[in-house]
Amino acid sequence: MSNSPAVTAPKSLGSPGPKGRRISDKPNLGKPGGTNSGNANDGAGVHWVRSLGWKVVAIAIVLLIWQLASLSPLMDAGSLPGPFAVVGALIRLWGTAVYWVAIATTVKVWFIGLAICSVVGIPLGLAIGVSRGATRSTRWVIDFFRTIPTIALLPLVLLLFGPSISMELTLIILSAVWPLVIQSMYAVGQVEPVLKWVVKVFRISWLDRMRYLWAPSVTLLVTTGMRLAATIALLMTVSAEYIGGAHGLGEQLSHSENTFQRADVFAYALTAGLLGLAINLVILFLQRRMLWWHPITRGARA
Amino acid sequence: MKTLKNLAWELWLPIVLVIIWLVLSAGSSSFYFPPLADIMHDFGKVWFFNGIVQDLLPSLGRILLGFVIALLVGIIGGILLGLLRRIEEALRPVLELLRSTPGVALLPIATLFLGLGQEMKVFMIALACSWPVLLNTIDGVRSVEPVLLQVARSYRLTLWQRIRFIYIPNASPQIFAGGRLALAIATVVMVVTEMIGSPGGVGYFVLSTQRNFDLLGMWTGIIMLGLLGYLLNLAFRLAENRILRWHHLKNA
Amino acid sequence: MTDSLTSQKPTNPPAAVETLLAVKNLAKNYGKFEILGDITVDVRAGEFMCIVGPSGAGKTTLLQCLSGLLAPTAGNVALRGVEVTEPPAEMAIVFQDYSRSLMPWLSILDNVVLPLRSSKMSKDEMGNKATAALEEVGLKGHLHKYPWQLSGGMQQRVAIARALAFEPAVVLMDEPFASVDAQTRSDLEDLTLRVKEHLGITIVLVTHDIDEAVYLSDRVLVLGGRPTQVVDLIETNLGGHRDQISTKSTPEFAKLRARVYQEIRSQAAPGQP
Repeated sequence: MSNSPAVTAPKSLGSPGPKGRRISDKPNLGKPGGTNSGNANDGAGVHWVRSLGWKVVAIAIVLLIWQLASLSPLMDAGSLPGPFAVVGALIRLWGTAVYWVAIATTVKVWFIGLAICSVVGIPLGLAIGVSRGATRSTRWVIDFFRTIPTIALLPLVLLLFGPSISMELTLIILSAVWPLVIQSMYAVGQVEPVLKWVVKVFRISWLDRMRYLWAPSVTLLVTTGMRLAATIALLMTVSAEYIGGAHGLGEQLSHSENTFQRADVFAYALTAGLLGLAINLVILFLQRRMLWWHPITRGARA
Repeated sequence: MKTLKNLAWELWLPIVLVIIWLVLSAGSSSFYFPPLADIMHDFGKVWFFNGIVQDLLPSLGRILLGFVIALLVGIIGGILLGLLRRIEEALRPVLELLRSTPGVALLPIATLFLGLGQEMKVFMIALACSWPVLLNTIDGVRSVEPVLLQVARSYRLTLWQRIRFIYIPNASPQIFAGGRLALAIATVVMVVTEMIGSPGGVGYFVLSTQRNFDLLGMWTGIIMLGLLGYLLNLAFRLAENRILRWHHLKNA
Repeated sequence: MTDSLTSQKPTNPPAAVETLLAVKNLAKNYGKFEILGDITVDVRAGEFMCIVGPSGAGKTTLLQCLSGLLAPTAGNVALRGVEVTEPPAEMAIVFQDYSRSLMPWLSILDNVVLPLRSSKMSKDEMGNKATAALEEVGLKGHLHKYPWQLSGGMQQRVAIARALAFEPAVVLMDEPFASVDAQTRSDLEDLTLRVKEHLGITIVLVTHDIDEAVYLSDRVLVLGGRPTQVVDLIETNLGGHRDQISTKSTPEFAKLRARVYQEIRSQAAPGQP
């Protein structure tokens, strides 16, 4: 910077101030500045316990209805395993290696698939989003690939790769990459125009623009795309296993079904559900962690 | 002139891609990737009009029926749960679990009780599609501007009037967003249930041609499914643009 | 209008004062719409100039052309004789919308430090400079808060501090006090006057508020017409020390205000080509 000292360099700006936290320091995650008073916290605590109580009651009611249905004379005896039978099956499965290997396999394939989707989809989406010409040119193509049910390719991919990880990954990538591409494209448009002027006016370096303007600005939509992609990737993983016969939860599901172990079928379905829930919660947690400053996380009404 | 230019911008890439496919696959002797020209030739033979009557219409009927059921259940349930805050809060964990469950995992359970026929397929489509609609409707109902509710109270609107003129219009952008996601899920679930279920439907057609090593037939089926997915989405978007005109105008 | 045009002459004494920012025959069109037509004005080093005009007169467009954010359709802007084609290092801007011009993911201090990072300063120097600037605007106790934890007026102070820490020769302000309440507004006006006096910088401030323009300025640039042109350039001569109550109740102030008001109203009158 070539400031003329005659006009600028005022004395007060040269005076030493207290050592502030630097931009390079990690911002403290979580909510900065305690604004909640102790009383407010107590009130929230009581409310929290009460709402947890109601949640437990709701789950108990659902289980009770399920148990009654399984015992009802309308059902053929044993055709609907009750919650006790399913929990029993689940506990028995927890003691088997097959169960854990199945989960691990499914999670591994899901994760690899999602990782590839992110590495490909996010940069691609951002690159397309930056250019108006690219956005217009690809609109139709992306719209088309996004809406076609990729599962339709399963027979072809099965012929090509057999019931393997490659088969699963092909299906996962072809279906889960689109939400990431699309959300990343939108994300570019969400960068505050005034801030784009600010970085120009203050001549902020290219690298700093990336770190302090672009990265935080696109996080919300990119992570939203990530959540969608994660859900779709899990659906495709389990589908490919269930129909295509690759190893994992879906295969066990199909196996239990074919051997008429109904309680196991329910136990595996429940496992898949819990896995889906866990994935959702983890991504939501990470998203909130990264977006602690965002009005959505702060609970402010925009 | 301007629209023509816009159209050119949007169409050049798809056209180029199809031409590349045409050229690269021409004279292809690969078993898996037959020439596009042959596929297009067969497409006409297979689908006009035997295939349309035998497989496409049943698929279409199923997906529409399942989707409409999901919309009704999701919207009505969502409004109820949106208004009954306590109950919704208590049910949240159960709803979240069911929503997060990959639809396919419930397939064996559905086949246990409903068999492999039409009921199972429609049920599965409706079930898997309900969640995004339901949860989005709840959010939409919740996000009503408090001032609007105070206005409603001061003019002594009845509950039904409030639902009809405040809650539903306010939630409709989110209901449509949920619906669009639900439609994408519906096509996937339709294909999956047809693949494992009883004969009939485009999904079944694709899998059975593959099993008979009729790769040309399989490719026509894949293209048909692509078109089906795209056109359904297009139709939904047109409906959305019509119904949500006020919303888009407001946000423009 | 002839009367106002002649008044321009005595305000431009030959040489003597250094011209910092020279605007020459500036014009800007958006497609077929002519926004600015042929604007020429010199901003002197160390002066406080306010630009007023009816709403829709393209005041913000003018400011963006001055800063190099927008390329003019014709004419040019020069800072110390160097043509402005991109935002120059000696210039900073305070935008109207404080809620959008600060980064919500950075603390107050980091928001001010960010522009300094491309300089060769050490981390400590940057911190000290930013802290000093925040002190200057009275935000010493809030360094580690985030913009969204502060009131609107305080957020705008942060934006001003960010501009000051950048050590510019000239600060452009685009309706900086338009979105705060009246009390905060006069506080910020006085703060700006004090800071300008203290640091000896040049300020060009765009506003639609005639009182504000007259109160702050050494010279008021009145815009009007379609496309927008310079209607008048008025030397205020209100003296160095200004006060919200005493300055605003002087007869000179009332006269100046009436003059600007008439000029703007005559421009905005219906039937004007």
